[in-house]
Parts: sequence; C-alpha cells; structure tokens
Amino acid sequence: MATIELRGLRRTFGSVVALDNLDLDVHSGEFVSLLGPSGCGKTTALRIVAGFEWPDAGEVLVNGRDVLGQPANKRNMGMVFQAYSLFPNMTAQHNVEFGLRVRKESHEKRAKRARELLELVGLGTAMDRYPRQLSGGQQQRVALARSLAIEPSVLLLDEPLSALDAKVRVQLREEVRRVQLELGITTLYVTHDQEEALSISDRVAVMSDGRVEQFGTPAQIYNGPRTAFVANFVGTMNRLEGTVVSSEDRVVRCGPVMLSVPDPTFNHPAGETVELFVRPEDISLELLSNGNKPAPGLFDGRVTSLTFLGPVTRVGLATDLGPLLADVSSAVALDLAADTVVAVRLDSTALRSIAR
Amino acid sequence: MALAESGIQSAVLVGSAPRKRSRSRRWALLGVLPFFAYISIFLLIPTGELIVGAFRTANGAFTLSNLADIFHAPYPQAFEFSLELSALSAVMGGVLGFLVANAVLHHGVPRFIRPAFVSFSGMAANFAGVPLGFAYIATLGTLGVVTTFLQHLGLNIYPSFSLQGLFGCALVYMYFQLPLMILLMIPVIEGLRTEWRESASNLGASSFAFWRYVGLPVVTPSLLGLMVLLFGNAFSAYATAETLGVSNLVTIDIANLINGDIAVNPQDAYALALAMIVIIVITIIVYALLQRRASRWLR
Repeated sequence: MATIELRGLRRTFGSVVALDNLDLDVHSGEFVSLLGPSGCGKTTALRIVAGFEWPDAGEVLVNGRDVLGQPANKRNMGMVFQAYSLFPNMTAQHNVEFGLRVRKESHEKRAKRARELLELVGLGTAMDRYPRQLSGGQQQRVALARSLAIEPSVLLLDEPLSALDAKVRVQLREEVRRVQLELGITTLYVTHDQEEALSISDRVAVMSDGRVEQFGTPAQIYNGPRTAFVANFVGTMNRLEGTVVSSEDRVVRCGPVMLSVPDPTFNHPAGETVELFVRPEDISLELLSNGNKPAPGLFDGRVTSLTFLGPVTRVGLATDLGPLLADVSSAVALDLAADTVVAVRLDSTALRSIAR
Repeated sequence: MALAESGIQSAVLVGSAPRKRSRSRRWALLGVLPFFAYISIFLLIPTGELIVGAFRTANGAFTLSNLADIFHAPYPQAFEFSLELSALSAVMGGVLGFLVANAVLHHGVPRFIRPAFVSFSGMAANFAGVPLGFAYIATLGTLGVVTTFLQHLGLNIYPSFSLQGLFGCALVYMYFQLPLMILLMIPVIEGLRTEWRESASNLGASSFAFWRYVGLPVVTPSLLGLMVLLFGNAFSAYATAETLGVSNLVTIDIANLINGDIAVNPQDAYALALAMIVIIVITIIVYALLQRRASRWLR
C-alpha cells in the first residue's frame, strides 16, 4: 500500500491551464475520486501520476518519493482506461498475464495469478475469450484484473465505466469498490459522475479549472459545499440570494422572507450579500386550504411542475424567494397538481451560506 | 365500416414501404450501371477473349499447345525473374515502408512532416514507367551521373551492379513500391490504439515488448496483405522494365509476342497472360484473406 501526494502540479496546453497549482494527499489504502466536469484537469492529473503526461511544475510523491523522473513502465501502477484497452490479439487470460509476462514470471505463476484475478472479478469462466467476444462491462472487468496482476502500488482508474450502460455501471462500480477494499490498494479514480464518486469513495476531490475546489468525505461534499461551484455541481441545489440582516443572530433577508441560518460556518457581516443553498429534499410542503395563510415560519408557493422520480417527486415552485425545487414523497405528490398553492417549509439547519 | 377502412388503410401503408424501397433500389442500380458497363467492356470482355484465345490456334481450332509452350524456354526463366523481382521489391518495400510509416507517426516527429510526407508518397507512388526508367538510367546507368561521380571517387559499381539485373531492377521498383507501402501502412499503424501502447507501458512493457507482443501480431496480417499487394503491383509492371532494357520479364515477353519485335505469336501471348491472371487472382485471394484477418483486430 502506498500514499500519493501531489504538490503544486501545474500543466498548461498552450494558453489553456489544465492544472493550476494542484495539491492533493491520498492516504494509504484510500479510495479517492477526482470529480469534475469535462476539461477541469482531472484526467491530466491522473495521467501525470501514471507517467503519460509531464507537469510544467510540481511533484508527484509516491510513498514520499518523487516519481516524475521515472518512465510509466517503471512506476508499477495499475491503470484502467476509459476506452476499451484490452489487447485484441490475446485472450482474457493472456491479457491479465501480460504484465507478469514482461516481468519474465514463470508460466505457472502467470496462469495461477490470472485465474485468481479473473475469478475475483467474476470472469473465471471467460478466460479463453478474446476481447471481441466480451461485452463492454466484461472487458472493463478484465482490464481491472489485468491492472491488478502486477500487484501495483497504486491503482488508477480513468472514467472506466463511462462507456457502459447505466445498469452495468452501477453493478461494476460496486464491484470496483469491493475489489479495492478486499485488496486494500490505494486508488485514484477519475469521474464526472457525482453519484459514482459519492457512492464508492472514501474522499472526493471536486475539481474546477485545474484546481481542487473542495476535498472531503462524500457526506462533507454533499452536505457542506464550501463553494458555489461545489454546491451547484454536486447534486441539485436551490440557490437563494439574500442580504445579512444580523451577523450575530445569523439572519438573512431573502425577498420578503427572513431566514435564520444556523450554519456554524456562517461568518458574514451585516449588509453583505450572500448566497444560501438548500437541497430539494430539505424543503417540505403542506397543502393549504382555500384562502388560508401559511403558518408562521412558512411561506406560500405555487406548484409549477411535477417530475416523477420513483420514490420521490420533484416539485417546481414559484415563491416570493424565487423558483424552488422540492422533493416530496410520490404518495404525497398525488395530492398536488399545477397551480396548487402550498405552504413551503425550509429546513433551516440545512441552509448553507456562501459569500458572493 | 370504420374498422374495415382502417384495416385496408394499414394494409396499404404496410405494402407501400417495400414498394418504395424496391423503386429506390432500382434507381440505385441505375446509378452504378456505368461502372458495370465499364468493367464489362474493359475487364470482363478482354479477359474472356484472352482466356478463349489461350486455347485456340491461329485458325481458331481448340488447342492446349499454347499453354504447353509457356513451359518451354524462354518463358519459365521470364516467370522466374518476374516472380523474384516482384517478391524482392514487395519484401523490401513492405519492410522499409512499415519502418518509415512508423517513424513518420512517431510522437517526436513534428506534425507538419506527416502531410508533406503523405503528399510526396502519393506522387512518388504514381511515378513509374518511361520517366522513372529514364531517370534511373540517367543517374545509375553505365554513364549515369551518380555512376560517373562514384567512378571519380574510385568506386566502380559496374559490372557487379546492373539496372537490368534483379537488384538493380528491384531498386528502381522501390521508387514506387516504397511510397505505396507508406501510404497504405500509415492508416494501419494509426489503427493501433493509444490505449494499447499506454496499457502495455503501464504494465511494465518497453516499446520493444509492446511491438513484440501486441503491435506486430496485430499489424502482421495487414503487413503481409500489403506485401502481397506490392507483389501484384510489381508483377504487372511493364513500362519501367522495358525502358531499363530488361528482356526476361513476362510482361515484356507478352508485348514482344504481340508487337512482333522478335516473332509474332498472339496465342502464346494469351497463354502467358492467362498464367499471369492466375497468379494475380491468387495474390488477390491471399490479400483478401489477410485483410479479413487484419480487420478483426483493427476494427
């Protein structure tokens, strides 16, 4: 098991800054995801760690030792690529054996290791198949087994599931995590899929414009976004703009509504314009009888849209605070229709404030 | 009534789609008619005439003696030289073309080199016949510029070298064989995915190990297929060798038998041409088989 430290990595392509002073620490045996939109630099960072790209400045330390001077074939890192990368002229078994073959391991040892790993990824019966005889999901499982065969110090995965269909993707990501936990291998995983990153990672680094916006556990990233980018990129967020009325009492005026923000990180002077974020699941609705006013602490809203998402229904609302989205139980949503007037309750403990 | 009407309507709709399809197919066939007409007039009819002529006497009677003649001197020697020359230029062109195409696509080579190289190869691959033969006589002939220059340096390449000999002739053929191979090999090498190279490197393989275990096994069917194509290209060449003054080549023998430079005998020319067709058909079959195998991996 190894640690990975990225120190001040910078990489430019012409005038485009792909990595801008990137710092990241990955602990031994940890599963860390680099999450971000296309072009944020996550793949560039991974390729620098693998040895396929070189930074303009910075260091990549594995177990405290700078590996930038080493070529890719001397770094002993396993990598699974986005595109299917199995060698087409070899069976699944020979693909898995490849790394051991170039290390001149004996035929028996290679075959034994290949069998073990293919069984680990659930392909023990497909050892003699060529890549063209395997489905996309099976090919990526073989690629995973192949990358593990050399007993790498670090496992790197570059959007390995993005070419697969949704069901296989979910199944395989759980398998990747199971294998990682079983072997305890330090893993760096690149993805643009937030659900994927949050569901399998120990920690997630959300990246934007070549920098890490926030690095933390999935719960920290989801529940406590520290920047507007993270708040908008991870999950669905309602954004409210307001002015701080009282710094001590943490009261913000949003339109005609006064909101109390118990967020312990709230640290804005009175008069400052702030953005408040609240997730749709932290908003609840109550039906209003004809002409009734909402109870104190609640405000009214008019239903503008209903989107069925299975167990919950996403309700679009027009309110005095602006448009909002609320997730309500689909059973409750049966009573709602377009133009229904409802009382809206914000869970103030879930409100997050970010200075503009 | 309404139901019945709707039933009729849907039947009409279902029936109209295939009718439309067959009409558009007829138009499509009409479009390719000129191609089939061209093939018939300039390939199928002459080939048929040639095959029939190979089994006829000058009077039109059936005979096998024309075919028997091709086993008598000087024709076996001509076939031997043609086959050796074609094989040598195909192997030399194939191996060198592969190495050069790979070098052109190497990461370190500036990007502007590639289009310039491809353009030059496209032109050179079509530079053959009398101008090419003359160019080589003017440079490497007995009184050629390079020959004379080398003589001044005390290096006399004659008589061990000759433009009419196997190696001399193969050297001239390389002028169009090598660029043709480069043009055809570049897409094959580009078919080797970057991910294969990077995976191999990531798993500890050197560049040599990648080519040994992955690169060469994947491109070999294409490489062999293209060599077969070069073989056919050289085997059917005529004007270049004629200009160089080569005498013992099948295509030159056929021309002599038809033009009457030595003795007019179109029937023997038909038989020789038929034997050439058989050899070319075999190369086409081998090429097609190798391409099919290659496409399995480079798809």
